[in-house]
Amino acid sequence: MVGSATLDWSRDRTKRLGQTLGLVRYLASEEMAFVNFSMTFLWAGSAYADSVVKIQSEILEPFFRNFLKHLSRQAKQITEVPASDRVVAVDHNSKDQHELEAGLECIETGMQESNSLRADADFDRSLAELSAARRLLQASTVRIAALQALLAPVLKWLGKQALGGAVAVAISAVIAILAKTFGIKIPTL
Amino acid sequence: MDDAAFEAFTEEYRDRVSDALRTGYKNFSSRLSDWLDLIDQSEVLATAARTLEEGFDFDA
Repeated sequence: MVGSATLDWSRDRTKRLGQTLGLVRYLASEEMAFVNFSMTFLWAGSAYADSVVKIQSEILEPFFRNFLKHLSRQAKQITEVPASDRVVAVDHNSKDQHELEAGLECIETGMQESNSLRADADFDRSLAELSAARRLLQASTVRIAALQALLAPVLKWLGKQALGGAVAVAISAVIAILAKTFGIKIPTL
Repeated sequence: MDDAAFEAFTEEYRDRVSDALRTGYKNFSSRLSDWLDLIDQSEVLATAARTLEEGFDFDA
């Protein structure tokens, strides 16, 4: 009989929520998807409007309510994930981001122009790591752990060098912005 | 996501739910798409949505 097939909903509430989310994606995927669904599982008569009302009231209304509760719980848990495991958005229009990019550029240029740094055995690797970090920051999102792994050793190494002038100022600024924007703390500096 | 950001999201969420539950069949799929777009706009909430299992194959 039309519309009388049964859905194999999970008994687990969270899985059932996921199944309904899959149904929503299906219903959103094409204009007449609700007709296919209604004719198979939830027949409400030949009028399209009645089918939509039935889906809205019997499936979607409780789903939207329960899904918001799920998001609320999850949002709090995800927020509590350690900073180092997070992927965060890079706001390329923010003042801090501009200052961070400018600071890193200043440091990279200063490194390239410093004969004393060039003589150090760690120079090549440090320069490459700094360059890689700048490349990471060009993306729309960045993994905090990756950024920290690249920048912390370089900044610590630079901290041990006798640097002055614009590069020293840039290092301080970069460390401050990394802490403020990404929660990255550079220890021992 | 802090409480203020989630509160703002909740307000927008309720508006889009209202749109999806009150629309007729002609705009039904696009209203649901709008609702899904809202979830996907937030990295945190999109991740939360992905944690759910999506089990049905409607073409099967």
